[in-house]
Order: sequence, then C-alpha cells, then structure tokens
Amino acid sequence: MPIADYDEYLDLLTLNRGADFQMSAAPSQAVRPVAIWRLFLPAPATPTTSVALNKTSEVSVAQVPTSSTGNLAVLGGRFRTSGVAGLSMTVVDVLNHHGGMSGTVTTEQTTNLPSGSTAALTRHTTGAGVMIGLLIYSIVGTTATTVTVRYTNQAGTSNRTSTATSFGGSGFREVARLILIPLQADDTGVRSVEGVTLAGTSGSAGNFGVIMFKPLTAFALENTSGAMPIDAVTGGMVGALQPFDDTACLSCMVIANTAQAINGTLLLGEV
Amino acid sequence: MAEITDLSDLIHRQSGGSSGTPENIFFLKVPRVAGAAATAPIAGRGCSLWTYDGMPAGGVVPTTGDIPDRTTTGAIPFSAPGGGRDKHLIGAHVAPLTAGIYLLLDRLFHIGGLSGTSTSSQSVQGSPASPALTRNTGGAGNLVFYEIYTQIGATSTTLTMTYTNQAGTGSRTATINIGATNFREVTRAQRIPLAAGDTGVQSVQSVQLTATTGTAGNFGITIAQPLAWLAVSAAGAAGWRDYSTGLPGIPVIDPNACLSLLCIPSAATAPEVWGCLGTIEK
Repeated sequence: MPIADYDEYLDLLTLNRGADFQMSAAPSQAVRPVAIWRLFLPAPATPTTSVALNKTSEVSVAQVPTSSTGNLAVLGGRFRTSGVAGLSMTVVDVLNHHGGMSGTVTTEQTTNLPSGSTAALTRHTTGAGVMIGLLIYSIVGTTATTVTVRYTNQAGTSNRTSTATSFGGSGFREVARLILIPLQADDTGVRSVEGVTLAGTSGSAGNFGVIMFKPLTAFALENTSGAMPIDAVTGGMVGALQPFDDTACLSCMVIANTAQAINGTLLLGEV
Repeated sequence: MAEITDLSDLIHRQSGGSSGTPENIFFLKVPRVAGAAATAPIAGRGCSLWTYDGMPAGGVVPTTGDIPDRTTTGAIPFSAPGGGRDKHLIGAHVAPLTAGIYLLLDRLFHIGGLSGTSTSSQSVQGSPASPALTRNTGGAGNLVFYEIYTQIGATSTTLTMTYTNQAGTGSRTATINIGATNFREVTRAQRIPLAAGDTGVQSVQSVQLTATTGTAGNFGITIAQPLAWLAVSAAGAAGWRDYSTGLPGIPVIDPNACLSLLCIPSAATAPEVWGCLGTIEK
C-alpha cells in the first residue's frame, strides 16, 4: 500500500526495520563502480556456476523483512565510512551472479544466465531496466583490452552485442570492481546473458563473472565521515520510496572519491 | 499543470499512490564513442556527452536539422506520463569519474554537417524555421551551443549566429569565437551568449564564420532547455539535487523530452558517469 502521508512515513521510520551490512576492508579501487558485497563480512563465496539470488543470499544485506503486501521501499539509511570523502551508493537488486571466467581467454566464454532450470528471471522478468556488470573476483591482468557481451534484450531479441568497453589494466582489473556494460543501441534492459568475449588477453586469468542487477535508489554520502543518517525527505537520496519486491537481493554498488569501507543499515518499510 | 500539493502528496506518489508512477531512471555514460576511447575534454570548458557510449547508447551525429525526442538513440529513455499527468523531476544524482558541473538538458533541436572552413552563411533552421521547435516553443530559457563532431581547424575565428529570440524577434545576432586550441576538439560544446536583453531562443536561422578555421571538420548547432545542474566536487563523489527541498523547485519533464548530458569537467579526463533521475507523475 502506498504511504498515505508524511505522518505515516514517520511511523514507518519508527518501526526501525533495518537491513545491515558490514565490509571487512576497503576495496582497492576508487572513483569507479565497486560491488561492495564482495567485501561483506562474512565474505560471500565466489560462484562457480550461475545462481539466481534472493534476500537469503549471502550477498544481500540482512535481514530484509517480509511484507504483507509483497513490496518494500527504501525509507532511508544510516551509514559510516572509514574515511573522509564523498561517495555515491546505489542500492541494487542483484538478480543473478556467476563466476569462473578467465581474463586470458579470447574466444567467447558462455554464461547461461539466468541460471538453473528456468530461463526466466525471478524478478524484473521483462528485463526492463536490468543491467549487466562484470564482477572481478580475482585480479585479472594489467593489459588493457575491451570486452563485449552477447545477451537477450528486454524485448526478447537474442544475440544482441554490447558496445565494446574497457577490461583489464589499471582501474578495470581490481577485486570487487564492477565493470558496467553499455548495451547495444536502443536496448533498455536485459533478460539473459549468453556469452562474454575479450578482444585480447589481459595477461592474467584471474576470475570474473557476470552479474545481472536492477538499480533501485541512490544515496549521496558527502564529504564527511562518521555516522550519516539519510532520509527520503531532507535530501541526499534520489529515487526513495519506490516499491520493490520483498524477496529482492538487496546490495550496494559504490563509487567513491577514495577507496574506503562502509558499514550501515538500509531502513526499509512496507508499502 | 498539476503541482505537487505538499510533502505528503510527494511521499504518497513516490510510493506509488494516486497514479504517482514513480520511475527511477538510471543511466551510464562511458568515456568511449562507438567503442573507441573518447577524446579528452578541455578542463573548465563544455563537453557534450551526446555521442558517448553507455546506457543509453551514444547518439548519432545529426546531418540535417532534426527534432530529437525521447525515442531518439542517445536520449536517456523514460516512460511518458499517462492519464494526462505531468512527469515531475524530483531529484537527480550523478557520480562521475571527473569532477565538474553536469547539466541535464532537453535537446530540442540539433544539426550537424557545418563546415569550419566556409565563410558563407550556413543555414541552421532557416526562415521560417524548419524544423521548428516542438517543445518549449516559446523559447524562454533555451540555450544554444555549437558542438564539435569532427575536429575543425587550428585558426581562431568568429562565429556569428542569427536567431529569433524568446519574444519572437528575428534577425538577432550573437557572436562567439570558434576554432583553435580549446575551441575545436571533438565533443567540445561551447555555449553561444545571446544578445543583450535576450533570455531565450525560438529558432536559429543561420551561422557564419568570419574566416576559415583551416579545417572543415564537422560542427553543429544545438538548442536545448536546461533541466538540472549538478555540481560534483571531486572525482567519484556524488553530485545530487533534491528538488523538493532546493532550487529550482520541481521541474516538469516534457513527455517527449530528449534527455541528454553536457558537462564542464574540472580536469581533462573523459568522464564515466553513473546517475539517477527520480520522477513521479501528477
């Protein structure tokens, strides 16, 4: 049910239904997107096959509450950064993850995402607004090359090919780095990913995989440190209160001025 | 236009009530054009991200005059409002690789294929204007910039623009330098200051160079309506605006708007930009 008014919003905050996350260390990369769940405490296992995710996954913040309506919204959050610097934190629903790809193979590496016996996503099933990221699990090589991804778009058209984008080399090889994939012209989402092709070797195999995710809302953690409470009313949050499925695998992608660890709580409410 | 009544109305619609249809529009621009590394921008000067790869994909360099809209390749896609409602921009967020100012704009008209060596009058929309604007047609607040698609020459010269202002007065003229270092590089976008007293543009009839820049290259003229300014103080930091608590109020996005980005970077590093626009309908 939509929130009726400001008073009801305050009531929802009072319930303090938080989902927490904690990082064990700062990532090794600043100024570019990082999947902070790779550094969650406890550390999630590296996937070897493709796996569909939900709120019980170890890459999700915990505990995501259930909702009698089936929908939740991000009401706000409270965070603490390890350093003094601004950063952008996007709350995402991680739909699938996958690993075991090599940074030296230049033939297509197949993915078969989404995984398992079903060919359909379990959430955001049309693929609209679903994005692709390549997540680095073990550092790949120092040689800069490019990568393309073959996928099925939001209209169900298969064998779409992403625009070539950077892979390997400084800024595109570090653990937890999430390399976002530009889709083919006029595509606005992804239903499945079939393969990944490197234009050249990065020089080291490492380990990376494909992530499919839906971004939900964005927090701005500005030039400060210590505790940062942010709500949906007084600023710092864009896209708050939009309903999403209460089975979502909620996690965070961060872009930071300086690499730093973040701990915090997403405040969630039933809508 | 139905305005947001109060904070409770805003919260109610953000959470999906009263056909608020909240839509969070995420976008990504990577510093590559058609799969190749983008030309480095000039620190402190305008840079168009229209052709940058990403989500949305890079826009095509226009040839003849065109009215792009939300379905044009390169436009940040969004759902048109339904039921006679307006789409309100309630917040914006960017996190770029390069600090600077990021401008969200509605690209109202664009043309390419203009020459950096011709000293003749080069038609833009002509008179009467064709194609004429279809959005913000009154012209108030519209800005004009030249945009370099293929590098022009190393000789500085003057561009004179003849235009119709927001009051419908034609044959107005404005000048700006073009060509030479910092005014010729690919993706460079230079705003053209209007004549004294003018506050917008309904159409641009033509442009004319005083002398050749030395290389034809390819440049264009773009008319745009600015929607949001976002300041980013440091690389990787977030620039954000909440329009329910700050200037300029809550802008309405035209149902057909061609949303695109222009930046003024603080460093000569082609920006990768991640961002989000928060919208509701009423």
